[in-house]
Amino acid sequence: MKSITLLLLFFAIFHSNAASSAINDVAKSAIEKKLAYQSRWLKIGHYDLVEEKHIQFKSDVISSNFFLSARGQFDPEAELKATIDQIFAPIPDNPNLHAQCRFPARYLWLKKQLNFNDEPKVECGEFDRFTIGKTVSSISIVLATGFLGNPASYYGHTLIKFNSSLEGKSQLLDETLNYGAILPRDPNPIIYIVKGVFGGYEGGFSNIQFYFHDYHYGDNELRDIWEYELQLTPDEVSMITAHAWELVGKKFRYYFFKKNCGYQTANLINAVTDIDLDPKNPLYSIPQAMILRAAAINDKGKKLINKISYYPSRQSRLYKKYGKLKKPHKQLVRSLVSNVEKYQDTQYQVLSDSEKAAINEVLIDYHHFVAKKNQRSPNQDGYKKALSELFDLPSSGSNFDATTELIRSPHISRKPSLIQFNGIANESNAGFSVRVRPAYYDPLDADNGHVKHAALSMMDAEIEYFHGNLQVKALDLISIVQTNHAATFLPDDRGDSWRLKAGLKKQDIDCESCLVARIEGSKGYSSHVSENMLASVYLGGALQDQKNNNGHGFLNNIYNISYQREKISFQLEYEKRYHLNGYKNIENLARLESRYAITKNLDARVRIEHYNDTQIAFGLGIYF
Amino acid sequence: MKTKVLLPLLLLVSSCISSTALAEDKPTGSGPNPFSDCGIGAALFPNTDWAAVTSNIIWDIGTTAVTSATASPETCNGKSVATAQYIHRTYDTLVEDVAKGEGEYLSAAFDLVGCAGNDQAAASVSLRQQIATELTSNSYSQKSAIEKSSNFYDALHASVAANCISSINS
Repeated sequence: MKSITLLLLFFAIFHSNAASSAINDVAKSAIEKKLAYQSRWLKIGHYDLVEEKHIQFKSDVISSNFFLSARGQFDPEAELKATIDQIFAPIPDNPNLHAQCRFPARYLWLKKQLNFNDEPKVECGEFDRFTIGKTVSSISIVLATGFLGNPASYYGHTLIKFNSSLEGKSQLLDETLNYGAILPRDPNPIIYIVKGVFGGYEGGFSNIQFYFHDYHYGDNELRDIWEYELQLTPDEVSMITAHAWELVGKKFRYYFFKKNCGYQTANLINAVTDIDLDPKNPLYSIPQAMILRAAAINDKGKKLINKISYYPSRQSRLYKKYGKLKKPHKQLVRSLVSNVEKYQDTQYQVLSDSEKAAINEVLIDYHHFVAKKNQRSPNQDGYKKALSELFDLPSSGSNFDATTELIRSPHISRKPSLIQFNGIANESNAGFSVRVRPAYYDPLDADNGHVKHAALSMMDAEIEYFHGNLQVKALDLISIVQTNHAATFLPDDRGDSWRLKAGLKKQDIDCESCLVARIEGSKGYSSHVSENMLASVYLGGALQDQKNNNGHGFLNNIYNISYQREKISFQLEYEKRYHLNGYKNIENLARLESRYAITKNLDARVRIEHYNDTQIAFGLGIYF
Repeated sequence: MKTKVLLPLLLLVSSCISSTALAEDKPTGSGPNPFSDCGIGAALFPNTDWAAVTSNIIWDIGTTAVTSATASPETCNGKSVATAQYIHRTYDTLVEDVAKGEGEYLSAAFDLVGCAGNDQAAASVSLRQQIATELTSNSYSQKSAIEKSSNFYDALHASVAANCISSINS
């Protein structure tokens, strides 16, 4: 008995020594190969080079549980050593807490670099569930188009989708990984903006099944979704999935302009592959720019984007289905919206089952869309009646054919930023101006993924040299035109529109030292005159700093016609201002601007403006 | 003692210990209904302020919250709760798919409860009949969202139990 105990003790010590020796060998090899300072390890740890006292590296991750070493956030070598130690550590009661399960990407990469095989074999149940039993076979980037109802969503949103190859499984149940700011409930709007811009909030990755985003964006926020499936090797799919798991629940410092969802999505992919989707703009990251970059990647004939899928919002589905109805059926829909008793009329009763199904599907989408748009509950009678009619009909789905919509995909849009060079002149003088618009679009150049006839721009600046003077002509800190197109003209599908602008503007076309700070807003109504032409009327006003006795502000009404097609667009606007005080009483302003798209990223514009003087400008614009 | 835990919005539910225990008056094989039988109740389904759940914002990214401390370990597991959450979150679109007799959301519901593709058509017919009856009942409009979701959950499981050979009761 004593000898067996001694023998067991001998084997335990031998095994322990052998294991310890194996770890030491692996660690020694890692040091010799300088793995801790290789690009891949630094990217997996999200390390940046910093110029701080005694610190050379600093990880962007601020969650302490992302690091296995106490010095891990600042010391990639210490983190590497700790990772190797923990990979070889005994399996705990909960194996999901083992380093191999918590950090599968690190494990996979180190195993490949160092070729070890003596580590314990761990079953990672939670990671397996995330990969749906290791069935993730491809990865997509999902883009939700911009939403002018919330500042955080103006420029759209990207997330990653992990596509399972499990046969028959609905893709709505695929896992996704989403990066966003972590906010308190009901933040103060001013604090929200300041903190969002200057890193006052933490951001983090969270996972949920795809249905959540499809329903939330499509039905609640009425935003279209585009999915871009990437052409990746099995190794790349494994590493991206593994690194995504490492980042679930981990936090970073959130910056609205730069280190936002687009940046972090691109960063995650680039951490474990050579695919670089970051457009490398030092000032800002726009989600759509990442998609454009992905679309441009073509490695020896192999495109990165393999397949595109379109998930129309409730609004898009309504407009499409309604547009397909024959005219008498459209009229029937209108009468049924107003009065459910009309279901008893002969006009409805004589319809075929498929015609009834199409009409009721439009009504269901309509009631939902109007409810969400106007932030109230759906008309219960109308919605419930349409739904019960569908139940009475034979099963039949009217499938939304998305193939014709692919020409509207954001991945074939123009680039987001604009620089424009203009020659300007009036009756007596000539000069030039340069305009820079970092992002994003105006009613003349709204493209795929943007709202037609609308505008969204920040820091849009124009500097002119005119009359021998170099001066700022205008600086729009923010300019938004939100138009609702009321495509159905059904009750409550209203063309409510609004505008908001804040910045600096010259008081007159031809004045010097006359830049005023101004904030203006208006509410109005828009309606389609034809398929490509929108007419709008607004009432509003502005507050401005009193300069040159120009008054503190004005009320105004604006009439606008906007025409947009693929190559040619124009906008005609007339504004009447009623000054509150100052030397001006009533002022009439007019503007005509037209645009011709020479190529996707090059355009020519002609602009004629009148406010107290008339000026014409011819411009060439380059999108970058 | 029940421990009430507020479930963060954007998280997967971890598994509890599964069991074959059945609630009374439920169709054979339907299992417990998380809305009523898991000892969690409305804590799992907080009123979702959809306006607040916007694209770039997450409210909480804490760790998974449903543990055996919050659910009766003999009656619930993660799958049943995940199915219940799915139904509750997408109820309108789900019912519309049922009304049409097909759709991606309806397929996903069947996937969640383990009903294979070739059985889904028959299960869909059965589910359609049950939901149509529920919709036309006088009390439907007075029911809360959770009650409607709970009834849908029961109807789904009943349809699957009767029509799907390969179903896994959650």
